[in-house]
Amino acid sequence: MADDNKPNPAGTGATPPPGKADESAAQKAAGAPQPAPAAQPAAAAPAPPAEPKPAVPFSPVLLKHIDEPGSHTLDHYLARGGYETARAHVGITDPGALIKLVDESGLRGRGGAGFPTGRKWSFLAKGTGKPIYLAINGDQSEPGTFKDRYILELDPHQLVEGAILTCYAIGSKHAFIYLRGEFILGFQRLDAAVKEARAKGFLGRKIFGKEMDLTITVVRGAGAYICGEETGMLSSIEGGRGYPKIKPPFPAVSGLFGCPTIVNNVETISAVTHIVKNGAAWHKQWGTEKSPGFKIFCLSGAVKKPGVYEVPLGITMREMIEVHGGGLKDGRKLKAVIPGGLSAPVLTPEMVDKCTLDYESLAGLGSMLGSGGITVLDEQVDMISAIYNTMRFYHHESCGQCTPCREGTGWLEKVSHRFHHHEGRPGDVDLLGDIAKNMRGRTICVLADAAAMPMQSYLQHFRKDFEAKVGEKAIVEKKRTYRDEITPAAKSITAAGAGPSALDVGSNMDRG
Amino acid sequence: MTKEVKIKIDDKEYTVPSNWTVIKACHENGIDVPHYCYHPDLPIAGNCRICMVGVKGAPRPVVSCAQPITENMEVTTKGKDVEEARKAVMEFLLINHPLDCPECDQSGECGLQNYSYAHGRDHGRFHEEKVVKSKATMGPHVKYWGSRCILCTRCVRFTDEVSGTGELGVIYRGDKSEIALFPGQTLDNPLSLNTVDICPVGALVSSDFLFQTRVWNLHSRPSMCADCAVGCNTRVDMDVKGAIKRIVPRRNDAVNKEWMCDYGRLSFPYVRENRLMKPMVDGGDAAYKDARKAAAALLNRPGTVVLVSAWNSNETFAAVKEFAERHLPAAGVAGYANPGRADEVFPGFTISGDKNPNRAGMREVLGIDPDESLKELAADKEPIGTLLLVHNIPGYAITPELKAVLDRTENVILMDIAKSDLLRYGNVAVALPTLTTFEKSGTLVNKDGIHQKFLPVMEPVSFGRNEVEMFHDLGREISGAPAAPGSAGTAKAKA
Amino acid sequence: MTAQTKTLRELSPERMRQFHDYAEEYPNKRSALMMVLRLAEEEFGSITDEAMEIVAGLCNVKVSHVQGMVTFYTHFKRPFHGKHRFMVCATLMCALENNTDQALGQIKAKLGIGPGEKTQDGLFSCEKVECLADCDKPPVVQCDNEHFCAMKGATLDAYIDKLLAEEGKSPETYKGKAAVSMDARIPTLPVQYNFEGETSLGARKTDDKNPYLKPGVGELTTHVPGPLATPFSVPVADGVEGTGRKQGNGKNPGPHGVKHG
Repeated sequence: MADDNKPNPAGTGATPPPGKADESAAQKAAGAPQPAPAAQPAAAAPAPPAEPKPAVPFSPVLLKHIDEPGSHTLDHYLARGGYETARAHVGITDPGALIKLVDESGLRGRGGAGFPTGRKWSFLAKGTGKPIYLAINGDQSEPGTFKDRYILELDPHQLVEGAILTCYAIGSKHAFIYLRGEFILGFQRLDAAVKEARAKGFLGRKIFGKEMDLTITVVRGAGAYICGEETGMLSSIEGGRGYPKIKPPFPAVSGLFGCPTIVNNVETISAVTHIVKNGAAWHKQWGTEKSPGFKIFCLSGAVKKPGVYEVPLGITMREMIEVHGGGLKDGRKLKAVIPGGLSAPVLTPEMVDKCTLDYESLAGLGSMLGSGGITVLDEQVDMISAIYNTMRFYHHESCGQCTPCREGTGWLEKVSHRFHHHEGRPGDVDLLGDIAKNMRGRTICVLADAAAMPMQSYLQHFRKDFEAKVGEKAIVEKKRTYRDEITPAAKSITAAGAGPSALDVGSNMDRG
Repeated sequence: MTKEVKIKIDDKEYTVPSNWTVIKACHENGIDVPHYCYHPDLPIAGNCRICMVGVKGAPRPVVSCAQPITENMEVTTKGKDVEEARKAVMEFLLINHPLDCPECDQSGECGLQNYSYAHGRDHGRFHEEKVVKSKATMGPHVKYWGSRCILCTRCVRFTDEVSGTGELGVIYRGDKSEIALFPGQTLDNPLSLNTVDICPVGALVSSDFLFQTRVWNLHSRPSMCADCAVGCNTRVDMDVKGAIKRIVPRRNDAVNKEWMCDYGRLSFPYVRENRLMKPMVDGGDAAYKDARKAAAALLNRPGTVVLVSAWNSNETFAAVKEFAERHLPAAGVAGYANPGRADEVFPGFTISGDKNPNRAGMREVLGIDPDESLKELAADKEPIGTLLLVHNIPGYAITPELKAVLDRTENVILMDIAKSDLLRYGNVAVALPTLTTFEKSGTLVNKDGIHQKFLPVMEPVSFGRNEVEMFHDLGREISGAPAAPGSAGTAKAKA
Repeated sequence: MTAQTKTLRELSPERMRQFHDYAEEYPNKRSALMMVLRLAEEEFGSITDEAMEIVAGLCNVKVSHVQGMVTFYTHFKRPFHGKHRFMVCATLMCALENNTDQALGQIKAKLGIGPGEKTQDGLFSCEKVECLADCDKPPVVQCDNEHFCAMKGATLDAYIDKLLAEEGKSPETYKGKAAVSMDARIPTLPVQYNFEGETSLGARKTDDKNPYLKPGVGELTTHVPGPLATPFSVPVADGVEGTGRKQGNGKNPGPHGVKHG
């Protein structure tokens, strides 16, 4: 399912500490679960058919320092050898060699699409005479994913150094880091980090004393999931509504301002720093052959210890849930797992047993690794409510540019809404499947697919839940509409025929 | 010189320029690919998704408006994949669309109706609440029904790129998106009615044409606009009684692309209002032959001047020239023009400030520049015995120069279409009604020197004659030749 | 397009300096829009119409474009939001186990407003928003540029009390105030642009729309010729009025107030 040029419409997600045995200073609110001691590789679940690899011990790389006070400051970063890699390569190493290095490491895009990073860089159109841009996607709006927050708030300099190395490799003088508007602390920290780096001569004119200029601009978004889609983000950076662009031409040929642009996720670029520092072979120690390296996963839902866990690719899903997540809380039973953010097709417990956390395994199960947001659903979760919530999300976030997505997401939500209220009509289950099928592959970007895939997977695996909510009459007599759910104050306004409130866009006041 | 490449569309070979898109290649070769957001003169949006076609090698249908041509490409515009895609998109377009056909102006020429019939489902499956959007008066000429809008954004791209005024924008997100103005602004640029033309559905509607008639009750004829020196090609739509209901532009890439300004669209009421219906002699209605005699008598004197306006066709100018040379060798021929103003220049269209359709023709046929000629005539102090004024300008205000000429004229023979100020000026001895450009034929030369021919679209409203004919009749009167066969009873318009 | 003749406020000198920094840094002024809108949001407290016009002028774009952006992105603060804008994540991971509902319920209990509503005095508003990227600690709430996770129970109550105290309101007496719905539609277009109340739709007024018809002109023609029989005009006998029916005396307008046809 990891299609080359279908990036996960959202950015990434990040959360707190990996398996570290200390209290996290990053926890802001009380009552958050405390992390457990370091994970043990032994798992009780049946071993999945992963490639047998000698397990090299892994300790977090990207999230290594986030618990240390001041980890976001330049001094802290310099003290641990920060910017030495950039200094060693900028103006010294052949940029093509750097691209080759990243290619050999097998690093794949961590934003959701899993496209090999080095290969993407090699697609860059050369000799156009136009400036080359790097656009780093920190939009992180995919529900269930919360990993980038930790990099941005607690260790942003690794991202800045990664950006420097990437820009040097691809020949870019200007990088944009796009953060979702809701990342307030993240913006402050990253902005401060960029300023610190500039003050030290790591950014600006003739960085590290070499013949290279580099500007990093941090751009704030403002609440649109579609701006996590790579071309939606580019449209937003260019100063407009976040409408995705038609591909071809791809951003590597014509992206920002019509110039060749590389778009990569925050986690990917941060990983570049460590890969260049430690080498391709170092990166390939972990993971599988086709999915080498490590990734930050975000565990949420009915587990004892939700949070961010940076682990090598290839560990079993069971290990993630039972060992890192501590298993389901309160002795509940597993009903389903959403493995890669809200747009990933859902996994049943049988599929979870066969699943390892790498791109191929999940694609083979009909789902996707995506952004690594793993949500565990227990038996208490009503799957129809879950799909309704999911459809509402996509309806709300559709940009409205192209017809199938704009209208289809609304239709899916409206039918799901009826199911949520036990008023499905006979034929609706097939209708949902047909709508989802009609939306796929016919739109400018993949938001329509991101909405249709969960619907299709729920229909495939939880069809009985839908059928249980089909009413007997063909058209139900009491026509339940959205208007019934609007609060009394708003009812008078809608009764006067004032038309739709665009708060339906902004805040879903009337949805269950 | 763009390279030409060979491609195949539906198993037939075509040779097309390599910089075309697939949809253009199809359309230029007569293959209809349905489209809403695509417009040949606007930037590509690719958002309606109805123009999908199959391309060999692509896993699924692609949008032809954004697909560049490549050598040996094989395109299919028919087939199961393509039809299913179109059907799906059609269904999505209609689910929130209101059932407004009975009251919608676009009915009969509506993109949704046409393509739904050709490519859509035969029944609806959507039994939910539809999204309702606002209605607004966008500007003095344009009204907006939000619920009908399919968000093809042609109107937005038009105001951004062609008129450059940027009044229209898309607001909100998803299926709540609407087209809106910023509060306090209006869609009042003089190209505003083009947005109504390009809107494929009845979301943007002309206030002038609103609820006038059903489009299938209209019959159309090609014509051209004679209100300024651009000479936009038009199509005149008339109802069963022959009354003009609206004027829309016709495509002519050399002259006006597919645009037209609002002035030309809305000026046609002059065709019916306030027309000079019958010949007049000394302020009273008269028969044509009496008017001819009176005019001929007045003309056949020394001190006669023939003054033609720049609104007349080349044929009229030629007739004037021949008439003057043959029958009034002592008379002077002068020209004048409707006073103009500055050109209104928009990024994609220029409305000429020269409010005369045939200034260039006057220079070409008569060798006269109207402004210089009028100035010269006005400066002359000699009294004029008879002034043959070939006017034909609707809505003209008498300029000081023309007033100077009229003041020293004893008798005016007026050839005009309307009962204008000139008729009431006081010294009109004979008034001969003429025809508007809708009722006769002729040739006009636009500001770029392009000669364009217009043909009649309607029956004459008044008793008027084409000036060419009248000059022949006058010539015969003056020279004493017998009346041409049929000039008393019937008159044949000579093109 | 109306010319903007009224004088607009400027941003504060510090923000103008920041704007000039952006103008230098970004390849063109239009690409700085997202950040300049944030400056205007700070300056005016929310993005008002005036703010949009100022930003459009600064960044050299049409104001309709700016309005399109501001209504597209839901995170920008608008005049219809309350001074303290509660945004509660309602996406699946927070909605599980009723976390979202709990947070909304507490806000409703203490402030009297449900999602999509604001208090009558405009101090507080509440909305459901989509995933705020902290899914392991539901429910997630943002308010006043601060981010809170696991925001329910005593923590949420204490925060609301704190805000009430800042506004000089007492928590006991404040709850139960009548809530108003936030009308998020763009402020009403001037009345004359909404034709809901127009009575003479479709009337073809020939006086002011026709630039060629001068006032004080004579009567309308009463002659209506028949349909065009041939492409060229049919010869009409001398003194004969021509074919076609008479259409009244010009004083009877047609069915829609149209005077001809």
